[in-house]
Amino acid sequence: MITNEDIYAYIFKHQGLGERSAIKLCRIAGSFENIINTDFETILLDRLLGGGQDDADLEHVNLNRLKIIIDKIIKDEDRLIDEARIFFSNLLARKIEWTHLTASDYPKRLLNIPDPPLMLFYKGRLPKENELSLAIVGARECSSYGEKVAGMFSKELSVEGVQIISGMARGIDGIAQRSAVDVSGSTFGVLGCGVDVVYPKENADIFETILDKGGLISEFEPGTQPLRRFFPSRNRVISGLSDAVLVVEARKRSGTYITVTQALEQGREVYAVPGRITDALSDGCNNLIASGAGIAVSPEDVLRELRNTSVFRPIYDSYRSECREYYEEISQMIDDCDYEETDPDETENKEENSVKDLILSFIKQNDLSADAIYSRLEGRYDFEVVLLSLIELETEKRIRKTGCRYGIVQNH
Amino acid sequence: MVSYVYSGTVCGLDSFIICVETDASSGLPGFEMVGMLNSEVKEAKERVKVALKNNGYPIPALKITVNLSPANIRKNGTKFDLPIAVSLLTAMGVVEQDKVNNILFLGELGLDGELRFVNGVLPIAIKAKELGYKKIILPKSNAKEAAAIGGIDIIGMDSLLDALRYLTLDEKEQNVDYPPEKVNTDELFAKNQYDYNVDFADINGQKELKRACLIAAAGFHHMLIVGPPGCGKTMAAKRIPTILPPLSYEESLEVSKIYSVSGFIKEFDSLVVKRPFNSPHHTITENALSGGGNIPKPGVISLSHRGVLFLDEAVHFDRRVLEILRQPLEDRKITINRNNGTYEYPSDFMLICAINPCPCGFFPDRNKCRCTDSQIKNYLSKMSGPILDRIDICVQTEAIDYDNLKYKNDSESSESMREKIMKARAIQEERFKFSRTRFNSEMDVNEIEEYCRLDKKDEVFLEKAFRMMDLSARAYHKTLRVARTLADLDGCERIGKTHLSEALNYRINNDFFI
Repeated sequence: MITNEDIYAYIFKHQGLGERSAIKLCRIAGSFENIINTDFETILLDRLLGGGQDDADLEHVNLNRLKIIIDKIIKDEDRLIDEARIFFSNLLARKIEWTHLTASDYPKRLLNIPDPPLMLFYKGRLPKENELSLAIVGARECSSYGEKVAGMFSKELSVEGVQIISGMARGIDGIAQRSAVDVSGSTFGVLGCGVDVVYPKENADIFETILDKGGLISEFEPGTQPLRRFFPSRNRVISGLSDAVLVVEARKRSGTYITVTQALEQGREVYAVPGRITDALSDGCNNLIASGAGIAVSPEDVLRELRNTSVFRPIYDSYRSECREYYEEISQMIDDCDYEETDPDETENKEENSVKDLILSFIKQNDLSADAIYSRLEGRYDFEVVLLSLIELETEKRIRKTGCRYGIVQNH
Repeated sequence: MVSYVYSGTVCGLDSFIICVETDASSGLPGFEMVGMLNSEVKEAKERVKVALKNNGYPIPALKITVNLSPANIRKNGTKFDLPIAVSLLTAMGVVEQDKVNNILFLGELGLDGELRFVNGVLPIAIKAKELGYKKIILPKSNAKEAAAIGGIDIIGMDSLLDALRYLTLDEKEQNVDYPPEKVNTDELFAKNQYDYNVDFADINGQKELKRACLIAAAGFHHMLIVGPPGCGKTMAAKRIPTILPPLSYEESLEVSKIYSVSGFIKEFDSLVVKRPFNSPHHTITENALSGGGNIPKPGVISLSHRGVLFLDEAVHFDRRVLEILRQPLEDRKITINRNNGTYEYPSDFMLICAINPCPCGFFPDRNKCRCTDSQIKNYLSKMSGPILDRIDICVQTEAIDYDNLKYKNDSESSESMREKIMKARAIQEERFKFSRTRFNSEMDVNEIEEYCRLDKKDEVFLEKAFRMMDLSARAYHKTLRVARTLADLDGCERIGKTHLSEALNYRINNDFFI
């Protein structure tokens, strides 16, 4: 139900108390309600004189501004409390939940970052503290390679119980979350708008399904429309809620880069999926790797790293040796697969190696146009035959046409 | 005494024989011209007076009245100078009336009496031939144009004096001194028909694009080319006239008439024997496209009659301008109404549109393109729906890479493509012998049912593809029309699976064109 603390948290948020200040004040005062009655100036003086270690906490808080806010609250307390009550009862009616800095269910991971949001509104639930969580982020306009990789990582990791955090955006974000939902993993969408606003429309379908096992989280009040300037601050919540950030595809100088910078500031591990150096979409990732990011070569790898680095969660320690065995098994299996695929004799011996298989092998890595496929076949088949196979494959939903190019359909 | 000299004028594409009547009698000296004349015809008075004076025929101090009849047709152009001069001299008694009967006079006069080039001679010559006139006397620079129709003597003259001398000679002397102009049309067609300096062999790679052009030309399908800048959209479109079947003599006359009226047949030119290719800029106005003016002149769509109309960057055209194309695409002619009458110009053209796949032009190459899906949709939706409905073939291309550019692989030439097309056209001609339809692209639903029967197996395949690709009934018919052309190109009686699948490949992507 609505507690006093909720009400004061809302009032402070509404009066424009900064996030960096709020966390410090709450740490000293213990609760929002106490902030009003605490004489911070005396505390600051005390600490300065006493040479205490915590003075950095208060030094950067603008006490004058705080004073103005507190004065305002005291002057108009009754009205503000009424307003807050109305606001919260509205939320209750619409089944939107909330938490704030001093609440017990506030995500602990967020408390570790320098500027945690004062309040969080959510639908569904919040990420569990004792389970690993990984942010998967990347470009909105992604290539088919990015789609494939994002889906693969998200699926395999959420099957392993990793909570997937992302921004519900078009491209990599949405694909990662949709894939997690597909395997009924738990995934959390952090929004740059109110939790009741569906944006972008492309992902409208997962706004419902995501709630079964995960949630939608936003620091913005319900009803807030998405604005460009909200997204950087949303990004800090994405990385803040995660143990590590996985970048799937990113250009140099992009929104994804902001997330990465914030993740590093917050002390999160960053992994990047390598790509070809000629692809503009892999530029960002390759550069991250060059400057020291972890290389995400497989979901298993990332999982292993995640479990290893999260040493402060002893709950996983016992599993570790067990897991190792499992991974070795899996990587053995994968090695076998690779071997089979690249065996040159195998391909040549296959009499039944039809034009369709050849086409599929060509477009496995890269989307290609009909012309490009024809020229790769080096005249072994007529153009008409190539087109027939392409249309057949398309009818079988194994490939799909985007613009002039054909690409593999991922979930086949 | 009243004299009668014959000339002609053009109104729209229709031509009329005009009788120039002159009366020179005593009274208050003066020179009057009547008969619904445009200002350039009224100016003829001064040119004629001075030209006659400079050639030794001063105007007598008489009351001179010139009437151009029938008086209810508006006369324009400068071609009446010569007939007015001859008519005046006849009225003055210098030339005998007998000598000028059955002769048509056309031509502009210089002040020194030189005969100069005029527009729109061809339609008048055709009309004169129909009405049984024996000879046309016109400027030498117009002679080749008029002589191409044959069956009427065309006599080209350098000056007014030549024309007058001609009228004093007897028939034998006339033929010796001023032999009628002759044009060997067979030779003209053979020599110039495919005298293009471009050829499809110039295009390396781009198999799909070339193939689509081949199909489009074979079945007279309108085509949409989607591709990034520099992938050869314009290059391919420019080469389409080189693979179309040759213009027949009758078609050539139709085209030449339009070009003659518009003033695009230049001095000493003869018939237009090549298929026209027009590529208007996207800033073109409605009137320029459809034809306009008080007495409308043919617009670009009529100038593309029997040829190719290429709209580069079709999404940038003003929507209202593109909507004009609807009637011509349906009826193969355009009707223009003005307060002085209704004008009809033929406009039976093959429409080729070229657009970029997205605002930046590089989709789906995500290395270069950062356009969002909604931007792309927005951009493509500017393409007019009714026009898209009439386009059967959509081909999506991308720029060819360096390897293809560098190593010339044996690219099919225009001539060999044309041979295939001629065969497919012959099949269509046979098929539609008793129908108004001429090409596969013009088949109506009944004809599609009759000529596009599928095997059960193929029907299942088509149905499956349709479900999967989520296509409309209209797309279904388009696919069958294109498949019919593909089968004709292969010389097959029945449409096969390869034909269907290839036709499906050229469908218009539903995702983008909503």
